Amino acid sequence: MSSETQQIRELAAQDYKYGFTSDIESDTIPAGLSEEIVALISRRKDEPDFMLEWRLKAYRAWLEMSVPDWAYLNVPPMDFQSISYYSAPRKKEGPASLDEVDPELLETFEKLGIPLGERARLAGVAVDAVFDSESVKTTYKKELATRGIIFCSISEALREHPELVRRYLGSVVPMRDNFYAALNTAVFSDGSFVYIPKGVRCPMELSTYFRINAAGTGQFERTLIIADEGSYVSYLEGCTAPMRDENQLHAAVVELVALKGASIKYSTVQNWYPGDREGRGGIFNFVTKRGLCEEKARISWTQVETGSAITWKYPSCILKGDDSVGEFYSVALTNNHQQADTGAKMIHLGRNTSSTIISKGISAGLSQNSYRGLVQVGSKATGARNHSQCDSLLIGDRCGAHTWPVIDVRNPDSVVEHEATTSRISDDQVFYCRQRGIKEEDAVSMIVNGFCREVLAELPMEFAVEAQKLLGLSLEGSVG
Amino acid sequence: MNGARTLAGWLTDPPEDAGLVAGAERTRLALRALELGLPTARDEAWRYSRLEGLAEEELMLAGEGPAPTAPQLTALTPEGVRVDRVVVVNGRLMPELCEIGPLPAGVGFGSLRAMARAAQGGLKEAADLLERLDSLCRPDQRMFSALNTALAGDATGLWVPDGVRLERPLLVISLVLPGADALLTQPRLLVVIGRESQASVMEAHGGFGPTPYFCNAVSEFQLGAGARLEHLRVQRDSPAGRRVSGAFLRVEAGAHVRSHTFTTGGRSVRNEFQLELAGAGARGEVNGLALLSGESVVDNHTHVTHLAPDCESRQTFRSILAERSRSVFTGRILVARDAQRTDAVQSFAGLLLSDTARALARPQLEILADNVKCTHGATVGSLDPDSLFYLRSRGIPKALARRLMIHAFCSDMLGRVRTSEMINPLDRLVTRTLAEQA
Repeated sequence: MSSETQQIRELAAQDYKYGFTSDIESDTIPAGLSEEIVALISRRKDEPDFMLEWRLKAYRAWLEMSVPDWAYLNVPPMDFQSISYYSAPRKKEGPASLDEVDPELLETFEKLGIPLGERARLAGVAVDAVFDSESVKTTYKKELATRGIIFCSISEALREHPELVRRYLGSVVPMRDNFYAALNTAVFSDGSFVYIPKGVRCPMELSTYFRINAAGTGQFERTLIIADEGSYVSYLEGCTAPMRDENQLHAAVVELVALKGASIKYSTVQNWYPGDREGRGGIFNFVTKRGLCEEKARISWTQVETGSAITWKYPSCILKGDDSVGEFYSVALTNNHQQADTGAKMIHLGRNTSSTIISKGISAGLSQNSYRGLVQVGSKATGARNHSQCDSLLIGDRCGAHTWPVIDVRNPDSVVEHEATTSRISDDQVFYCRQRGIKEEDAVSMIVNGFCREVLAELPMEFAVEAQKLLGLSLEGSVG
Repeated sequence: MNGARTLAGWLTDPPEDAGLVAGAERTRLALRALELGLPTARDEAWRYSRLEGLAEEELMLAGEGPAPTAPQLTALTPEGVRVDRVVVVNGRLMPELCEIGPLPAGVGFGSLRAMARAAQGGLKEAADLLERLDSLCRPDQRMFSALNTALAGDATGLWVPDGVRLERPLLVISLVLPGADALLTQPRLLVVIGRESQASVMEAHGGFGPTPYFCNAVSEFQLGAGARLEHLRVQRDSPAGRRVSGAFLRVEAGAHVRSHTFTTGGRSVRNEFQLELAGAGARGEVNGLALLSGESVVDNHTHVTHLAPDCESRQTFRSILAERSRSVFTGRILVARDAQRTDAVQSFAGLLLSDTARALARPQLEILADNVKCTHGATVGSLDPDSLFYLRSRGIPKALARRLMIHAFCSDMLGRVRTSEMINPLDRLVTRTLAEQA
């Protein structure tokens, strides 16, 4: 291993010393969960009454639910009463500017090709100090506003557009959907809200990066995106650097609504802290993501998952309208002690609906990587079509790759295909590259990138470049 | 003759003459079966099997049955082929119907109870065979295995010593002929093939009449190193019949097994396959074809475990579903850490012929070794309209064209059978079933 890669590896492995130091106490409510706490969260956020009722209902439903145990995951028992459910907005005591940040960390950002503004945010620098966020914010806000696009935090949306939020929030992921969705509904602190009016094509990729307040939205994030008839939006979610977070549990809910002829592209690059080499620490990521497609609508999920100690995530498309399209492209990479149980659900209800699932799982080290998915064709979904492809790549002899797809077809005039393969990087491939003077680690990185090419091609350009580098970085030390 | 009782009733107080094991062991298994209980719709693995109401149903424990009619027998027997056969009616062996020709020295084929008597008389082979009973079907974890061992009337045993090649296929015909009362029958087969030996075994299961019955079949197969076995199973159940049948196969180093199951009806048929590739270079093939119509449900569960390196497994399942029938395929491949250079393939294809038919596939891979080649595929669709049009444009009537295409879909499965004597009878069975369903 070259000294350069060695350095990055050490850097990626070291403890995170900067940023996110402490919350000011007055902003954090006591740990534990009760009706009072739920009411307190709602009150602090100055929400309309219907929200409080909704949250309380979800909380009562949650009390009756139990932690799901069907996934191929080893989840240590969690004490939901020891978590503080509201800690935003956070005030941070961080370095004042990028000059004060550890140069090695900056070098990692450089490697990943993170935009300058985002680097500062990730290093815990208060962004306003180094980067004129206001101007960025206002420039894009103005441009979006001229087209009638609403892009704000969900709390802001609740205050300013309660009718929209009320109509759609919880319409795709009902509060009783699952344990973590119910928990999220009861206690979510903030998240993003997007509304694209009829026939509008959003001129830019919307990203949480643009919105400063998204940085502190904490562990229970709620995202709601509504694309009205004939509109288009591409939304990027994620953090793209080896970011540390003190929160153990993340239970987010993402709801997408694509009305007639609308198209939503949702891209995620997830690189939460995966825990150390011995599997200590790391984020538990339990996410419910679902989209509803009306007639001729299209929802495309693209995800690159390299982080989190535990990932439990099944982005879904409900293809309700005729001729609607659902897509899912995913790369899930696990290394060391990481565990991932992830996949997609495609529910075909309308006629001539089609869906595609391309899932690439890579397991290295001692990790366990599972694909779990559902393709369901309802009895009225005449002409439905699905193609699923799940490929797994194993690196090392102590990891596991598993596939658990479910295919349920109730309509004869539909075609459903599922393919899966599991293989490893062959010695021949590596030998061929090395013979041509390519270092072993570079060869592996190249082969892995080739393996994931179909998915990476779906990512917006700048994300794709980062994701490729991320894959290489996450695999450091797993070969040789 | 005892009156009808529920399953639990039979298990709490089993009749004296029932069961394949004696005394304390039988009591223990009966209790274990009670303890495990019947699966419910809440058990994920049993969600789609229709066993509802079985616990309450009053059943007669199968005993002496009527003599089968000639058509009932021939419906399941290959014509014009010399085979050695054992006939079991309602769980009892019918010695007058068995035809067992001279077999090579050391080969035992017939009633397990008779073999137990022979073992007491000092026949070592019989004792060796009996020793293997229950070694694969996990009666301590699987309720239906415990139930079978505790309550079965008799079983069929086959012992092939090392280095023997059986020229003729062996046939076990197992019929359910219920009278007025609902019936519980438990066919059992135990096959042990010695090192470097070869055999072909066909199980023909049939159920007749309008009376409901529950058939709980268990078959265990052990193959010594280098052995070869082809296992064929035909299941023709009546629309009132429910069946759970388990095939448990263990294959040692260098041995090959091929198992084919043809299911053509029944209210609910659950086929479980457990294939263990236990020695290096073992090869196992598990195939299933279901031709269903009416309200039939077939639920295929496979569990293929690669325990040793360099093994190969193939699973191919096809379902043709007309009317309101339903097919479930849950296939699982588990590759253990040491099973390097595993080559495993699993495929399911469902053909839906009506708006109300339904196919569900759950192909699963669980892989813990790194140097493996595992693939699975599942497709569900209907007849290709272009091909249908092509045939019709050549003057073939629509119904016939459809049948031709469906037959072609099945022929892939028939083509996997190697026991040449059986290919034609199976083909006739498929043709007849398709004609009946049309």
